[in-house]
Amino acid sequence: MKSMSSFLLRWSPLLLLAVAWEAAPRLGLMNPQSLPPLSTVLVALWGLAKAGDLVANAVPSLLRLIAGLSLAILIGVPLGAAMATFRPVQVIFAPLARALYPMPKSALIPVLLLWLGLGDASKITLIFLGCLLPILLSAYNGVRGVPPRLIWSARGLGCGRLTILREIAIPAAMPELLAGIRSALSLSFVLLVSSEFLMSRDGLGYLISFLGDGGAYAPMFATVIVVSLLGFMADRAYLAWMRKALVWRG
Amino acid sequence: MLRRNLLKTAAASLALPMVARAQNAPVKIRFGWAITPAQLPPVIFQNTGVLKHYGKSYVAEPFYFKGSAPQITALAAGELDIAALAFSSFGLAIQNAKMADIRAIGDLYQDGVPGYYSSTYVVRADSDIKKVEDLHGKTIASNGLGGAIDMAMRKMLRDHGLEDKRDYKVIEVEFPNMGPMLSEQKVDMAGMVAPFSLTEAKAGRVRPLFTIKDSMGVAQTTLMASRAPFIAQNRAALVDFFEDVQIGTRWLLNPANRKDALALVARVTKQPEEVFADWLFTKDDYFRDPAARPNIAALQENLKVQKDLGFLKLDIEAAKYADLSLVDEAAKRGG
Repeated sequence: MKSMSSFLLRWSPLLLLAVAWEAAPRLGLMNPQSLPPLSTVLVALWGLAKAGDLVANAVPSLLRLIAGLSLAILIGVPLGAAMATFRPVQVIFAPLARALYPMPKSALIPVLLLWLGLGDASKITLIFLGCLLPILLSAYNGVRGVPPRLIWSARGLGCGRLTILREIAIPAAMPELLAGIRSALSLSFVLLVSSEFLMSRDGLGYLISFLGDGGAYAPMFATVIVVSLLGFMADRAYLAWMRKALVWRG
Repeated sequence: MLRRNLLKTAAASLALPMVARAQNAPVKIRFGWAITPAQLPPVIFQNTGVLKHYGKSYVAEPFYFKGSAPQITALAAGELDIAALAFSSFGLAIQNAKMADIRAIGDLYQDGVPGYYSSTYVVRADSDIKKVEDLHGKTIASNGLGGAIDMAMRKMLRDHGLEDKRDYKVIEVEFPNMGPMLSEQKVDMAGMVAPFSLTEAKAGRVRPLFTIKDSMGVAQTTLMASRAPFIAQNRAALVDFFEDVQIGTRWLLNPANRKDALALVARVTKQPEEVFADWLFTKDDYFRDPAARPNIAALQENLKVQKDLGFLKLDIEAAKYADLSLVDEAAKRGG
């Protein structure tokens, strides 16, 4: 009973949002053309699902997202750790990372199109570039923040730099590193939609863009809900895994 | 030696069929589109059953773009074979992207053709704006600065002595949001396209003030553009492509196919058939040339307006940048 009430309390803001969404266009507080009632959007969602449009567009989107994010993790984590450990790597990459961090990545879309074409490569690259910096900087800051006494102890025991990095620094930096990956995961959904929004053959961003252009706002909002739900579920799953992975912290 | 020759012969016999297959493979034609059903190719190529050459001499690969402008980039980069360009973007592709080899090769739709729909500038039904001069000091919604709707509006207002910033204010609003913006009195006039102006008028919320036709006559609103080297290399496939476009367009415009055509459009756009039932493929719709032949005279006039308004610096001779041989050859076959 207690857990049920705490569950309701936890999710009540979402319930309130749903009620407000349904009521605002029905009471004339919002124009139903620009904001259809939630029930209409849910009917459109069912229509998109029944026609197979959601699966047909979500699958290529998610594959792009996984590819871009995985690349960012594979490159960002070792590079960030290397920046914190090896001075020459830091000298080369740290100013670049800091300078590129505030740059709006979606502004790169037309250039990436010129370089990599209309296919998946330009979209995956945009997601990769957008996700790389938060991961790289979290790895860099995480490894730099490792208590020096741990490093000294390892050195005292005769460990080399690479061993210290692998056995001491990266595990100690895990909380910050995993938090950085979590930020990148959320960001990857934003970048995914942006990458497919301007030009694409398929994907959830493509669906949102062309439905909006045609004034089909109910299915457009339905697709936005799907993207939000996928992002939310991915975050929850990652958070659950992260808690398990960091269980040693107590 | 003998073994080497045998190996060479074996390799050649294996490679020859592959080369032949590659030579016979259908040409891939990547075409851009921005809004459908105004632009029909995304619908036509979902109806391949009625087409004659699809999958044989060519296959068409559609790419959605948010508007014309990014298609200029894609065309310039060689990532797109046929772009769906507004006349305004066509001029800019020549001037800014320096595409001297760009060619207008097909019609997508035209505005203001006698007897057909023309994009309409509407005011609220209860507005005190009765004539163009009444727009002095007002706020106007335009879908994109420098686009066809925007230019025709500016020309009309200039013809009546009104200039942007000095006499009126323009804000950018997407077409679907123009109706609500008018209702909420955030703007005083909006340049709308079908079906949005028709829906608003039917609901009694708006009243027309003027149309594109009143301002600049016929407009070659959007056209298919490609580049000369691609045309030269793939002429036969492109003629087949246009024969299929002509077949597909006639099929959609044929009243006998209306029920199926509306169902097809509904499926492609993911909207209910009722959205299109009243106007699509009727005289309330834009004119689409059944032979997909662009109106080069209208394009020339449109480019002149673009230059007069300061959106284009060059004098562009439209005929020099047109290649109608593909649509004409396709039309001769009779589909």
